Amino acid sequence: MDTKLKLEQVFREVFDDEEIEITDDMTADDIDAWDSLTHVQLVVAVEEAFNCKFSTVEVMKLKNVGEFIKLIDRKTGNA
Amino acid sequence: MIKLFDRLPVWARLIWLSLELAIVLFAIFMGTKTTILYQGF
Amino acid sequence: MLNFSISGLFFAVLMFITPILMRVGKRFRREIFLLLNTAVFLLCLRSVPALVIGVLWILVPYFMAPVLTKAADESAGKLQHILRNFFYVLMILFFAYLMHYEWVPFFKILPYSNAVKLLGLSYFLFREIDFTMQYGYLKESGVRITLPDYLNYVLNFYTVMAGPILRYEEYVTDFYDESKEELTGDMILHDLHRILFGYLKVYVVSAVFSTWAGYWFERVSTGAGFFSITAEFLLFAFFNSFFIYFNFSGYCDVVTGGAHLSGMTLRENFNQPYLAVSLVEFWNRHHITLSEWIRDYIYSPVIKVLISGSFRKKLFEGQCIALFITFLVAGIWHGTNFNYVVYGLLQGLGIVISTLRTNHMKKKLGKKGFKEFQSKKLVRIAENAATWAYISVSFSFVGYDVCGLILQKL
Repeated sequence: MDTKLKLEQVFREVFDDEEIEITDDMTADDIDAWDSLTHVQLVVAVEEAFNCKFSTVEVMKLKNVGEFIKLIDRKTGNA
Repeated sequence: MIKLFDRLPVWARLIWLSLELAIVLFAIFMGTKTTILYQGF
Repeated sequence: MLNFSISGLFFAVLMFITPILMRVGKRFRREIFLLLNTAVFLLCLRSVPALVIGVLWILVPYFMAPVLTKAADESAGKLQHILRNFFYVLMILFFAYLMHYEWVPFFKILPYSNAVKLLGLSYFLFREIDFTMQYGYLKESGVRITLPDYLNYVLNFYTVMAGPILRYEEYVTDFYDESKEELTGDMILHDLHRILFGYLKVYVVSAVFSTWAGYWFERVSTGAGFFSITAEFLLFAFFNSFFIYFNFSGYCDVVTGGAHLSGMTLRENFNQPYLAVSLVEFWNRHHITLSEWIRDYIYSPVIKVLISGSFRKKLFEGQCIALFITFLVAGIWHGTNFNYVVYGLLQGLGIVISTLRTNHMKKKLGKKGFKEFQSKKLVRIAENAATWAYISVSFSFVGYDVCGLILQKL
């Protein structure tokens, strides 16, 4: 499944909102509920969905969706 | 305060700075015992 | 041994000559800055052991960074992961030993002398952890890493006393930023004003609040009668919290203005904290760089471990625990005697209660209803007053032996 599509599904589950559509330049400012807690929730959900692990520094650096997708692809070998 | 300062003409700002300097020097030399909250010394 | 302080002549001289030297010797800015930073470091040493400890404490993380980064890699074995974590644990333990936390009985057995304390020790720890943990990312992104730059980052005399806490990447990028505007006359006057205003905040305004706080603290110590003591204590706490704000933000104004004259942009540490309507918001407005560091290096990892494991289905509980731990640690970091433990406990407790309340209100009023409720003027005023009252009471343990006072009264 396309990384972006799968990630969108994760976003919808974490934020409990089936209407969310993600774009590459989307950041925490674009979603109301995206704070430091839900940020980590997102990361953990992504780790489970894509079967990979993020380090403390990586979690910090994930500022937008585009970077998320790039990093996931690198970790899962889809790059 | 900072924004007001920036809008004043140069001569007014220089006077303001001199006043501040005078007050600060006075405070430091006339025995204020205040220290900075050094966290880690 | 120099007592490096913003009110000292040495600091005033540095504030004056550094911008000039950095401007005149533009090509050698890094070397000039390094010379000055090293001079400050050496002059502030209290003993020869301090020199040895200081040099090791600063250099070891730099040389260990590549090793630690390799050990963090997914392909590295379990042993390497464990050794890496062990290094950080050792670092923190050694830090605690150097700081000499009074309430840790173990430290009383070990030999120690105050002469090994280094100026800015607490802040070195933050910078070194940031550098070592970011090293892999920095290398990949092509960020400039050299020993002189690292030393300037760690020893930066503008931030050595009490921050602001910069990350290595932002420091080095800022230092070599060619696209920055040249200093204009307006900017210089602005910086001078910021510096002097900062001094004013510290040596006039905070001095006054310190005197008033001290006066009411004395009254509480010698007074009697529950209600009058409580009222006096609240006055003391209130004046003390304003002392802290003006003292610390004033210091930040001085060093930020000074650094800007030398071509360096420091991060802001304050954003009108007295306007906060919740504890969380307060910490996003007060000592901002510390809050961010703690969020990135303590809260995030802790909550991640919790919600990946046992608290997967109990997100809210996990968050409360993570917040409590985070604020407790942050509180303890502030000082070495037991009062700071109480301070940390109060902060942790306050945050948890605040989070519980928000959660409860959101459930009762719904997300939209809660938002409307929060925007009412009276609600904001009440929440602002409550926040400031709680902050004042918990901050009263900073700098005063309130534990001793309470024990004395009982």
